[in-house]
Amino acid sequence: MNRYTNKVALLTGVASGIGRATARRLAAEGACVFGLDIDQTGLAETEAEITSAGQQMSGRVTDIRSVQECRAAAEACVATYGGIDVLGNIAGIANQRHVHQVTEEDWDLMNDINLKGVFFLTQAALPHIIEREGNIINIASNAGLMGQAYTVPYCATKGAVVNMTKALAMEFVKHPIRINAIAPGGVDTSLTANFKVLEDADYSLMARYTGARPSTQPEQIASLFAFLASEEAQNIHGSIVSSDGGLTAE
Amino acid sequence: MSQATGTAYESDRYVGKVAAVTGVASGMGRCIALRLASEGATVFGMDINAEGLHQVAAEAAALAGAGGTITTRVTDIAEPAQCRAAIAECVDQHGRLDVLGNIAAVSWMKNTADVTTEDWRQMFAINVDGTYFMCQAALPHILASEGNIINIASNAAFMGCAYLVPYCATKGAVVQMTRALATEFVKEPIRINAIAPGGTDTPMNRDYQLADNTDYKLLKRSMAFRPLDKPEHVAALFAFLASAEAANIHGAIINADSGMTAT
Ligand SMILES: NC(=O)c1ccc[n+]([C@@H]2O[C@H](COP(=O)([O-])OP(=O)(O)OC[C@H]3O[C@@H](n4cnc5c(N)ncnc54)[C@H](O)[C@@H]3O)[C@@H](O)[C@H]2O)c1
Ligand SMILES: NC(=O)c1ccc[n+]([C@@H]2O[C@H](COP(=O)([O-])OP(=O)(O)OC[C@H]3O[C@@H](n4cnc5c(N)ncnc54)[C@H](O)[C@@H]3O)[C@@H](O)[C@H]2O)c1
Repeated sequence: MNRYTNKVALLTGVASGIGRATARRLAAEGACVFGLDIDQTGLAETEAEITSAGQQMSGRVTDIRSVQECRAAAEACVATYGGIDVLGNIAGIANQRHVHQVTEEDWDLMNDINLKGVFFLTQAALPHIIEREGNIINIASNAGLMGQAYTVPYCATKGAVVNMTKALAMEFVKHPIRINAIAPGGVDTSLTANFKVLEDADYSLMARYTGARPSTQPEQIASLFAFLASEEAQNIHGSIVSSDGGLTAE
Repeated sequence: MSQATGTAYESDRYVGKVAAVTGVASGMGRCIALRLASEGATVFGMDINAEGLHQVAAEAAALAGAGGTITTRVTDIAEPAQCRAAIAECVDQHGRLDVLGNIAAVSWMKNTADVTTEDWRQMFAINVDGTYFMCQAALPHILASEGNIINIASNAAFMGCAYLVPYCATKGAVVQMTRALATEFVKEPIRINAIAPGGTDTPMNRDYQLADNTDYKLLKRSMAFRPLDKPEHVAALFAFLASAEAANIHGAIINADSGMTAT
């Protein structure tokens, strides 16, 4: 079944990891993907891969930290494909620091990408989502649901994404649109591959957020995204769906 | 399966799979049984209501789709011995068990003063004991097939609902049972999850009678903004969650309530 025929998906973070896998999956199910990323090379790779398979994708280099760029990207998506059915806020960054090491720049960078960018792209896309009776999926994290040592700013942004999702869901509960989040556990992407664990980390603290199951592939998150953003999930609104191999069950 | 290759959703996800499902005579259980059968499953459907079981089996026989079937067994899940006997019969008949769906439950609204000992025990026997002993009986077979279990909880597990005190308590128990089982079996290649629906258009919901002298102000948060959900949507989520598409989802409680618990 092609659940996304005639649907337009505006996705961030499509140059890598979960964003790329989601772009592939939705395009394979018939979507026109309007993909954003700050990484021009990775973005071009994703676009070339999808279009050479005869599927629809158009990439646009965008830094979601800029409100102006978020607005321009949403408008460009509408100009290219005629509207927006699905918004996927996927781009994000993560790192480990002791609290005393976190600089103002570290804090601002993480907040601007993981939180501010998500809010302002959502704000720009909402009128179009409402017009098409579409839906929004934010990628949160298990870190938005648990306290995790050495990732205080990351946990703060992801906790904020969780509650922002619920607050948006309530503000728009009388509109025929849906707003949800996915909270992945460890996923094999460049985010995890480049994750530098502190040299003096206390592993007993880290063990609390290290899953018993191996980390998953980004395609698994993409398959959940493809279900959740489809008409099959019509009664799911304001939900935070964990896909973490049991990490947050304990 | 399609998730590895990123290709489109297919409707034959359950060909060769055996699913034991409770509560199939009505509402969500019926929709889940029919949905899984339409995707190719061999469904072993259980309920206390023999008449409803006949009907769903007949409906399944008329299904087009991927060639699944529904066989049924009258079972009172409040009796642990019947849970064990039913699962044994399912495996005897079909040779394996891939998916267990614990859907059957009861609910009613009463003032706390009016709840009898018998009322309380009966609701726990069905909603909690029935779910637990089905899991216990099925687990060896689920381990053998590397399958999965889905329990149906409720929005009532996450809200304090006036006049639904025993029901809230049973559904909170189902949530915590699901998470605890998920942790106990986290090193095994099986999955255990729950779905927490909101108000859904089934006989259970339609037949609710308000408690005597209900204070409507106390039901504020239960008054949903969106219309009642359709049981078919719970079935669609079930069919996704129990499939290989959801291989990383374990120990999760998925709210499907049109925003009820977002606030
Ligand atoms: N990988 C994991 O274990 C994991 C776990 C839980 C949650 N997540 C979340 O999943 C999402 C995707 O992460 P991933 O693992 O695929 O990481 P990734 O690093 O592979 O991909 C993230 C993408 O976001 C892009 N990006 C970064 N800053 C940007 C900006 N300012 N503007 C536009 N794009 C920008 C990057 O260029 C990159 O392509 C993130 O929100 C992350 O927090 C990841
Ligand atoms: N309908 C809702 O609004 C709603 C909301 C949240 C959660 N739920 C849950 O969804 C599940 C399905 O409910 P439904 O709405 O389809 O209700 P339903 O009343 O339509 O179906 C429940 C089925 O369970 C069967 N059953 C009852 N006692 C049994 C027993 N002892 N042994 C075997 N079978 C028994 C009934 O015969 C019936 O066929 C239940 O777990 C319920 O608590 C329902």
